[in-house]
Amino acid sequence: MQWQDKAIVLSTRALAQTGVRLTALTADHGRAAGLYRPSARKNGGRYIPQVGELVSLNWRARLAEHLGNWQLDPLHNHLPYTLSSPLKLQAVSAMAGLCEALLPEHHPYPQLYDACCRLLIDLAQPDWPDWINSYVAFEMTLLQDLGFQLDLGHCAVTGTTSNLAYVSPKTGRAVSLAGAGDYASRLLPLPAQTDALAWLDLTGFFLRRYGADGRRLPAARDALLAMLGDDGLHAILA
Amino acid sequence: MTSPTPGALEQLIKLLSKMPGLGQRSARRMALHLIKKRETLMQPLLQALATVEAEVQSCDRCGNLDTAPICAICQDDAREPQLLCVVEEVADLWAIERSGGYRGLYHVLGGHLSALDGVGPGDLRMAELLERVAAGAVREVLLATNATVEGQTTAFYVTEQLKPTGVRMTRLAFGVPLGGELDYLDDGTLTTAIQARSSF
Repeated sequence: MQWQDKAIVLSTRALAQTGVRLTALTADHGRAAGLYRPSARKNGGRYIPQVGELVSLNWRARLAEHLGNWQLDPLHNHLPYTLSSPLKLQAVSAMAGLCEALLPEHHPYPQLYDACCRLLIDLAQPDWPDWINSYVAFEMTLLQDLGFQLDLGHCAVTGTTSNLAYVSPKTGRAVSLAGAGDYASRLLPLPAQTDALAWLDLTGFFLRRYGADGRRLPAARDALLAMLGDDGLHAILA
Repeated sequence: MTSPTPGALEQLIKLLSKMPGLGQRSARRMALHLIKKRETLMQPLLQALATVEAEVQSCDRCGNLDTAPICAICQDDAREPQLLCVVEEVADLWAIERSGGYRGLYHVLGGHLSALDGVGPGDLRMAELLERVAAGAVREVLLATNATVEGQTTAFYVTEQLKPTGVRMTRLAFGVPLGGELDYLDDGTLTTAIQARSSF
């Protein structure tokens, strides 16, 4: 069996003495793992792709259920643009951690792959704070691809599209001020359009409940939220 | 079928094959070579292994490996005590020492932060680092962590922790390696080198 694809590296773990177990989110084959054997470069040490790096890869195995072997060529490395920013590095780790923890293997998620690529492109823009919105969009797409799309266009009770103020924690649908009535205290607040941190609280709630079945989300995401909370968000928007 | 090799030798081959870079075949060759060179190689090797097992320990101050509680580098008066280089592993310390271009002291963290592998700040020798810097002799901390996502995340964490002490923080430069031909460099390294260009 053999296929070729473009992919974003999600994790690399040492396997045996010289190998690396590399997991990647591919464009057409979803999350996939394989054994990668780094070869020595002419001008440096062994080349091991980094988390978040965009690569072109070739997967080969005798049977589909085997771990398989990767052959890969680097396409785009975000590190030159993210090395100087702890927040950007953490965003890459959080993106990779969520995909690694929540996505099943060998199921294509083309929309999610595109959302990840958009985020990496935005992270590579110097002095451009909009990457935080791309990160929120990535989590929304992840939620949607996991089978739980938020429906925030109109009120689930009255059908109105104005004065939307809450989100139902059970259905993920918007509820207006009038529609909430006595249930307002049991509903989640609908974040303001520009409040990225509140949006991440909302996506985190549903990702934890429906993506991770109540388990904790990856520590890298917690770390990102902590950094954004410590005035980090104001720093990137300033 | 009975094994052609005696039990003790089989055990030696099994243990040798667990060494990094060795498989069963190499381990068998090594065991036979050791038996052939009993006086000149096997006995000195046995002594060396016994000495290392009994005496080598982690330096109480920096985390390097040595036979004394305080390693030779930390005891060297010719070194600059105001310069402290933070590395992930002992192998990184040895690599910098081999270069001969650094005359300060070291601090080995014992790994890097990794959310995927569950390595947090509590698993690194951070408290010892903070203690050393707070003691006041250190004027500059050179962060020599790997140029990887985990390495740089660790570097940022160390910087954040040391910020209140007011110590000067520096890190290794990124860019073209010596003898490097631009045509063979990957795009990431080249882009970093361009961004970190210096006056000439």
